[in-house]
Amino acid sequence: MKSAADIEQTAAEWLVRREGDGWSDADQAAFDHWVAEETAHRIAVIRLETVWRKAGRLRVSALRSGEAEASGSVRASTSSARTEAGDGAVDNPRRRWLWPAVIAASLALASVPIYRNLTAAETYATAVGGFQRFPLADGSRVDLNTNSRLDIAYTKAVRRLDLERGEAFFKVAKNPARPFVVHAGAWRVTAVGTAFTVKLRGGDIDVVVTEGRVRIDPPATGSASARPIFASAGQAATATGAAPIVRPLSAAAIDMALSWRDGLLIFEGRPLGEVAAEFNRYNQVQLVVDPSATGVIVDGSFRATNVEGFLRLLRRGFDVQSVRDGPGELLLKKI
Amino acid sequence: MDDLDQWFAEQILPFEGALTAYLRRVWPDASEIADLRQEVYVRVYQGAGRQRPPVARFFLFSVARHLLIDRLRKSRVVPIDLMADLDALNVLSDDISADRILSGRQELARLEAVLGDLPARCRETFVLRRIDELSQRETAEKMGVSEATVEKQMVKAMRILADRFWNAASRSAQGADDGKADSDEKRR
Repeated sequence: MKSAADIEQTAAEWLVRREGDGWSDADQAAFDHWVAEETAHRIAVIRLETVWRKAGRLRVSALRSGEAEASGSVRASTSSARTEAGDGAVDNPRRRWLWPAVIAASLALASVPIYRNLTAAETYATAVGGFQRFPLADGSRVDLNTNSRLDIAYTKAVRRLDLERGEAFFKVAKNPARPFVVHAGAWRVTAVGTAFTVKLRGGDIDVVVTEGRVRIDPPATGSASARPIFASAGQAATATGAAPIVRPLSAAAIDMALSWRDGLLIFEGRPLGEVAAEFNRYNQVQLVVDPSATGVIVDGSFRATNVEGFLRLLRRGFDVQSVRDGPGELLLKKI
Repeated sequence: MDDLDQWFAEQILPFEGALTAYLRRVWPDASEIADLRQEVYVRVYQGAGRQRPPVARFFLFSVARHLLIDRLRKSRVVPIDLMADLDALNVLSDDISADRILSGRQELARLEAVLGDLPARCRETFVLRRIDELSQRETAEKMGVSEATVEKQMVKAMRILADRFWNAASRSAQGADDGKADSDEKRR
């Protein structure tokens, strides 16, 4: 089978050419032949064509908002209701005079989607062992780690996100006029054009900054001593109680702190207890370290959900055995 | 599009985001994801041509898992991590539940967002040609480029739109309160 990318390119070229003026019966026959040749060809066409056809509906939505503007009496907030009213009006030639407004509206649409004014709150959640990567409406990106939950409540003035539990990495689209603020526990982490992670542990947070700078505001206690602190690229902040500590991190340490984004756990000379705790974040089965095995130091990288592989390695490499210890618990013991 | 095509577009493609996320999660080589996905689609389409499965997404994910196992058995160099246990390939309920079919309005909102993701020239070409319905020649004139360039930009727009649209599917993954309780209940 040819590569998916090549097939998709060929399919897209066919579909675009088909919309042009010079499309002949012979072209159609050649296209049909190509589609019938391989199931993969047909699928590429279905996949592209379906979206392409849906994208034609943007015209309807642009027309409706153009109409709203032209009449001057209907605000953007009602345009969504109008869009649902049906597709009947699209090809009405009497609406042609609206085209200048429509073009203006459709260009605006490209950067300011109509519905965005409605700023619906969204929630993203992952289960234990889960991972999600998604873009936000402003172009920022989020990677959500295992067992995490993030609420997004954007308003015109501020991009507010609430990390309810777990850990997330943020790649923030620059917009100084609209700060990007992550609330985690009682803490606030504010970024302007930055990439960073926030990890919520109980009421404490860990912040690792990979680009730019963030500002960390402690919980409002009413006392004057609770001042904001700043962490820059290459630094990590651990905020416990009311006194955050900022320390520099090596490039390797940052890689390690972010390895979960690739589904990996990377350890360099970490004690078994810490490693087990890390695995426990991603898996239903919980590892408990017996005092006999606390001295074991682990090096290496593991797929976060591959507890089995990790246990095998412990047995072979470190003489550490796992025994069932209550429901859903494994005790790690030195033999 | 015939009936089977329609079924594929409506029942399978909306899970592309979830499928891609699953493949990424379990397969070590990111450069192979698009090809693996293509192969999954071909098997699903051909399988459904023989007999339409009752629940499309379960079928989709089981085909995906079997394909990966086949691949592992055939390949000469197997990533130790995966060989160690095929359980790593298991489909979690999280993978499957990470998606849902959108309403017409949600679809439109997503298309608008995706349109914003296109590179500027590409978006301009798309808007002139497809929304303002200029001909290819008119578009080329207006932008001061050749018709071949317009065609190229449209091909690019089509591919990016399809990719973002289907893969964005996983972004609106869990609805407002489809939080812990729900996913806990469904897991395993």
